[in-house]
Amino acid sequence: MKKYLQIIKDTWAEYMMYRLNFVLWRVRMVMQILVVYFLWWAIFSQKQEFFGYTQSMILTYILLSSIVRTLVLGTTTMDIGDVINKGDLSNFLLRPFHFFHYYIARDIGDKLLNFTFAVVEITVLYFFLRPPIFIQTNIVTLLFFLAAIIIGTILYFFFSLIFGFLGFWTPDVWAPRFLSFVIMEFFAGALFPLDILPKPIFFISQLLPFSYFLYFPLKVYLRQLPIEMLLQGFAISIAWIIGLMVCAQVLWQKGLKVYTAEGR
Amino acid sequence: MVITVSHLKKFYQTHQKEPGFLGSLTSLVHRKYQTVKAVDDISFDIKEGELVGFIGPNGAGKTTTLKCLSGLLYPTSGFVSVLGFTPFERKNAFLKQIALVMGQKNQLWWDLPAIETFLLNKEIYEIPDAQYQKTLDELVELLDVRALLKVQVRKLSLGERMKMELIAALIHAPKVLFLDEPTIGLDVVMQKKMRDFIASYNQLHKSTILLTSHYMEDVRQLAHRVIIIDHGKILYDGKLDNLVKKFAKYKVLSVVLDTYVTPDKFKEIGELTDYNFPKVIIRVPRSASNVAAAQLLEKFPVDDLNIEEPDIEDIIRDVFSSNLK
Amino acid sequence: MQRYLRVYRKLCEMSLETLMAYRANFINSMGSSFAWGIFSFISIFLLTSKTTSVYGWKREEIILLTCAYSIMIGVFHTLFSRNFERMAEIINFAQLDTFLVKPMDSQFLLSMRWVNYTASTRVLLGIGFLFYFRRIIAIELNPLAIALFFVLLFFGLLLLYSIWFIVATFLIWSPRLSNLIELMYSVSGMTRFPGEMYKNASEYLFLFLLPITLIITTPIKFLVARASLFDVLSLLFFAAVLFVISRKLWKFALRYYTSASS
Repeated sequence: MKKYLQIIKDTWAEYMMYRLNFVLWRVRMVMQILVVYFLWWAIFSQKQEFFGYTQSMILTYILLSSIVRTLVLGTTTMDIGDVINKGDLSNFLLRPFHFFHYYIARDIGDKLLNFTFAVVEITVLYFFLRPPIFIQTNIVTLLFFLAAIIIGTILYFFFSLIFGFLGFWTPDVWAPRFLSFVIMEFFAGALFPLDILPKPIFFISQLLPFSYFLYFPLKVYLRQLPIEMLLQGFAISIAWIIGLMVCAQVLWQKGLKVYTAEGR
Repeated sequence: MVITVSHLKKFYQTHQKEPGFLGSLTSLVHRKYQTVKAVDDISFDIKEGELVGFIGPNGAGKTTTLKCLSGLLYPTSGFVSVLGFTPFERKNAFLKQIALVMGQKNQLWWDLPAIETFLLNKEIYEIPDAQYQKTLDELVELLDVRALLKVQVRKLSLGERMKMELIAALIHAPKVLFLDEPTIGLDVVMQKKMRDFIASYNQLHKSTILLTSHYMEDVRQLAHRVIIIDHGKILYDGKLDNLVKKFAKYKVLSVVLDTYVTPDKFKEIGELTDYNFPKVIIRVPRSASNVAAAQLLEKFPVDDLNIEEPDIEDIIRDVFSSNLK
Repeated sequence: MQRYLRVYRKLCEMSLETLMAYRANFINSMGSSFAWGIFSFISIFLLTSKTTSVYGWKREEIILLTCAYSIMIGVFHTLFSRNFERMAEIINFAQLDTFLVKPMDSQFLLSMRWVNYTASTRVLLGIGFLFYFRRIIAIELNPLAIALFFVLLFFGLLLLYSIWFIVATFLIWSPRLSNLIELMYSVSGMTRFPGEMYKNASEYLFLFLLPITLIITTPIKFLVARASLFDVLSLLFFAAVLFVISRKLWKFALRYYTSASS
């Protein structure tokens, strides 16, 4: 257990080495949130209500998504593809810990660090912008919210792993991953809540795993889901976790065979 | 004079940084600057067509000198003139006549055949078609890479890539060629090919070539004239033979024995540096070499005897270590 | 000069050949670029579907703005952005010397070395949507206006380029700040919204972002005949001034580079 704690600390130390780079990363995140925030502010300057959302709901959604993002989408697994390609994977296979556990530990480090910063940023923004936000006080809702976040986090972890494992078969790991980012930006609900989309597109988005990264947990928080939708959401997301987990395991086993066969 | 360097100095500042967070904080406020004297008052002249070798240990100032001559560095003080130009002004007319080849800095486009980069350089250097074709053919023949011209650079071996880098650097037929550690990282066969190429190129084109190296073989094989540089200062500038005569304080007697003789018996002749029966290697002071040779032939069962100059490497090492004192 | 045009033509060819050498990557990049463009349009379309006016901008004008943004950013990414990313690498790995030794302007070589053809999908998308929405947008097409529009678009591009190049020049002093270039992508993204949006949020913010807000909104405002003389002059002024600054700063940075390195 101690070694995983050490890995978390090492991840933080790494970020501190490149602290200027990290600060720039946070600045980018803040900028992106601000732009989306102002956009919605502009829309609500004309109307009181938009597709069933009040200004407070939307602004809460946007600001909270910035925080939830750090927990669900923060990951260090993006370099797995390169680690495999460069042959550094061998180092892992020789060490006394499991590859997955290593990345889980690193991710926890990454998520905690980014989460802390995001909370500070949003708090500061709150004091500057004074948006009318909605604070959820219902304990049960908050528990469901937490559950949804955990599910989203696990889901994204396996999703990212799968892209990394492509490295066993191809040197080009970034192109498919980049395409997934593009699709994800839209279908995870970062810019706007997905239910404002036309019905057919919204229906598809609920079947895809992306909406469970951001949209679903945020809707749970806002307590806007009827019980059937809540249960349906959990069901679909858990089904996706199982599916992606199996897929990841299979790819890992097959990939290892290929890797060791080539004697890298 | 194609190249004139007079009292060239290149100093630059570095600062120390203590490790850790406190160190970063202090370095924001108070920095201790140190002046590194990369090149400390050197002067030399080079005529057209000369092939000069700069030798020195790592950090001696060789690469810095080369960069000052090619315009990449702005000298701290002193006078530099190459082909009548002041290098650091980096005038186009100047740049079109020089070439700089540095080990790790490649200019070939990775995903395309090397010939594409040559064509790009043709446009950049405004080489007329006929001249381009002539130079290309000649270089390709000399380096024997005709078959590889249309192969993607990423698919070539290190040696083949180096040859292509050379062609890319020479396609505009520069009058002055700066080579920084041209044989580094190459295997023995490739090293020889590289040296042969440089020698042939120098002869064919009468271009002025300045190369830096820390390999003795490069200098031994190529440079008629050698400049030894250490800690930013020139220790010797002249012909290689003269270097030997001037600095070598001893000669080497290499002996092949007939029957076994115990090592200590050689003490009276000179310093025994290697004993691997039947071969013996003895060092004797230069002036005493003939006498020592005669003694050996007289008193020992010698099968074969050779009087040799010490290895240039050893000489130069001695020069450097005496420079440190 | 003719030589620069010939060299650039060769660079365009070489980028094209490199592109074709990697078919899978090519399709994937086109796909990403295309998907990104489509999603941007859907987002804007959706978000403005219930509104008639945002900060004095009618819905048709917002759509026009989005199309123009797609075209402009597409052109920018095709010609320049990959070069800025590579510039960060080149400076960080001390490969600048290869460029400085060539008898050509280093700012030119560094800014225009690679052409990213896949980004041209955004341009096509922009034009495509422009055509699709032409009935909604409905502006009078007067040849002089169109010509001036393109002139303003050119200056907008020049302004965007200059800002990026100035930022990238700072890498010479801090080569490890590669995230700075990534940040510029976000900053460029801010140009897609009407300047008035930022003004409304905060006067200070608006002042700070003033040059950026001019880049695309001014040409569009001109096209829909709502541009004030102040807007147009500001754009021209900033574009010219920042371009000159970018060149002077670059020369200054090179002097630092040649003096301080070894």
